[in-house]
Amino acid sequence: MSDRTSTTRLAVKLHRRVCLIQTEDAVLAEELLARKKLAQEVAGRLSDTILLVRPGRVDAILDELRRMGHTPQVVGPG
Amino acid sequence: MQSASDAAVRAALARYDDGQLRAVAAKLFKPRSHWPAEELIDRAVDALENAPVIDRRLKDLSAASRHLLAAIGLSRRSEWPVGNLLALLATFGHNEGLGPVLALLDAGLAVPVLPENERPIRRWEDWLGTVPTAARLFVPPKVVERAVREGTGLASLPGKQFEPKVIHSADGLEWPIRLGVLWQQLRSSPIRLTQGNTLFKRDLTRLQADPVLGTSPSDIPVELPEPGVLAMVLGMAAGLFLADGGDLRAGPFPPSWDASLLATLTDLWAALPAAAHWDPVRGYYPADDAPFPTVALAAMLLLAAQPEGVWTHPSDVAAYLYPKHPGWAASLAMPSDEGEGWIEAMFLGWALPTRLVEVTQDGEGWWVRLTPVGRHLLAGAPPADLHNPFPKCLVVQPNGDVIAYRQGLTPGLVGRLSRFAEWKMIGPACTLGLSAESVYRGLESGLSRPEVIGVLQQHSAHPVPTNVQDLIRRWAGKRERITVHTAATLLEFAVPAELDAAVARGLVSQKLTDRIGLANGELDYKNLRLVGNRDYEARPQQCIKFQPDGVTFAVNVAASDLLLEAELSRLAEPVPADGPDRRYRITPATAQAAREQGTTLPELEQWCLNRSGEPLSPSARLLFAGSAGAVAEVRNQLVITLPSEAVADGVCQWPETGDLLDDRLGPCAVTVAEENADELLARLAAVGVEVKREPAPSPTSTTP
Repeated sequence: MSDRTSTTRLAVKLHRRVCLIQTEDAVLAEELLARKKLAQEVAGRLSDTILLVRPGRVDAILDELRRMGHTPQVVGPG
Repeated sequence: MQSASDAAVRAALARYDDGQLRAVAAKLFKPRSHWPAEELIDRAVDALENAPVIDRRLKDLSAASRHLLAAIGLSRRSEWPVGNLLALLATFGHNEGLGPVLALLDAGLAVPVLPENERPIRRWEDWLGTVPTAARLFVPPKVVERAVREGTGLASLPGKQFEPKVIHSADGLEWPIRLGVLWQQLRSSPIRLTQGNTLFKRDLTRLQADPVLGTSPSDIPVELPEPGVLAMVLGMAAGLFLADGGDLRAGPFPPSWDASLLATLTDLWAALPAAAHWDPVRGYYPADDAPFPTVALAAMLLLAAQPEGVWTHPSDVAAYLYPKHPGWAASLAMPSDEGEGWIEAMFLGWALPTRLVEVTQDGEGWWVRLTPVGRHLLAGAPPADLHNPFPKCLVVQPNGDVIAYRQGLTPGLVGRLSRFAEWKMIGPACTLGLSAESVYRGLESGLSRPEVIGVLQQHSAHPVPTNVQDLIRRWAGKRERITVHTAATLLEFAVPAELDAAVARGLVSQKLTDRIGLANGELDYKNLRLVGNRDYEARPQQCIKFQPDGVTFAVNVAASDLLLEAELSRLAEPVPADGPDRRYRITPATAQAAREQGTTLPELEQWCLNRSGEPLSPSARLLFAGSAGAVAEVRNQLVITLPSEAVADGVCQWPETGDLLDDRLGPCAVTVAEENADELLARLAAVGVEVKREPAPSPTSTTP
């Protein structure tokens, strides 16, 4: 039974080229959302620590984070 | 594997007209049969790797063409604009115009560099176009390698052999360090370029006023004009800085920087022919025909033609080149000295810090000769030994400043330091600063925290202070507090158990929610069955369908995306659904909440169009915008129902009756104010329309 489960193809919905902000803790996410300019670029919240960014707004997000004094780790192509 | 040179040759030959290709092949390797074009190209590429064949073709060329090829070879740059080649030919005393250049193309020893989608080349004029000097040609490396043995045919100048008391020489690190300084500045703030790759005033001022780049090197005996611009020009020509959509950005450091100082200096020498827009006397000189690349190259080739050890006076170099170079005299800021000041400024300001020449001074002025590096690059001397005996050249201070002693620096170390420490001062001892910002940029460039500390420890004469190591760790830790995924791939599963299974199979590197995980590298589709696929850089997908009430809609789960979830939470509330699709409804409360969160009516209209493909329904518009401030009213009116639509049309149109009416409610119904009713009925009666009037409602009766 377990062998069969391990070979079953999992039904999945693929989300490609998603821009996310991931914070160390929920308080930091709240701090970011309290910044009006940054909150405007956030489309929603996937979890306490994961913020979903509007498409095409990654540069604006990075600029604003750096303006706030943060040094975000940027993960992605380029 | 096909080399870049082979690819360039093939690309050019493939664009030749059949007749042109056969004519070139006939000269290059003399085909013995009528081979197809593809075979001719293959054999031409092979011939251009065959030294004896190349040597035979070189012998067939005129002296002018051979000297030109030798100069191209010594420049170590394979691609040249025709205008600069004509200038070089004239400088060598060959005034045959385009002839020697076209002879190289005829012989197949050079090929044109052709823009994409250009028509086939039937004759060279097709390539030269209307501006022949701007056309570019490529010479394969093997051809120039054989041609440099021929020499440039330049004359000996009246030099002087003596033992000076003081010889000025340089360590060759000036330009690598300055390029490192500009590299880190470009990384944080690119320079804007015009379409002609010239500078806007703001960026020119920035380079001129920069406290590090804008100052002339301290160890050269002249004031170098616009050293910041020269650093930019050299970096662009060497491929370290890349023009990208009007911005000049920092590219990766070339491998030569980690190889050796000699390899780096070779790259900088090879950058000379492309070093446009700088002049040793004027500084920034944004002219298309700026003479620096060709005059400097010719001057250096003249020095290479002199016997080893002999000093040459810049005035003799100028006297040789001034009457020959076609455009130089016209560009001189001070033509009265016939180029002597220009040549002296070029040797002392550019060639000396590049470690190509060394200089000395006596009563007759400055004298110049090639260094071992210069003789290796230009006169075929063995490679100079530039071994660095002092690798531990850094002193890291407790305040985060790093002192770098030049005698121990290498281009590789300059490149690594430029990635995570900010250059504050350059000189015999350079000063760099470590800061949260600089370390952050180093980490963003791909260095790890241990690598940053490792570079400092490896090259420090003393242990790196503990507080500095702690600072670097703290700065690096701060970076780990926020991660921005710029283009993540997420996998959304139907139930949490499937996400757990995906984690167990290594398909997901991190769980983000109970059903959504971050994909672990490239997806293994053997383990997955896609039920939906959304690209977030593409246009939003239509995935909702409104019901007839205009406020309730169903979500197609397979086509929806994570953005929709966030949008729905602001706009609508879920309602029970009886099928697989989820249903939501816009209510007065959700509409008000959306308005309060800053959603505007145009945004809602666009959202509706994007997500449903239909305009915003009137009912949704009503809930969101109401009447947009317009006031409705309640009033008593009489309704007259006319016998037919035709009668109603006539009553509305005839001014005697139409002026007494208020509104038309339907095909046969019109309204009239109570005070106009009697007059209207009288006029209708006069034209034969009888109206039966209902009795007025009686006052409210009271139950006895």
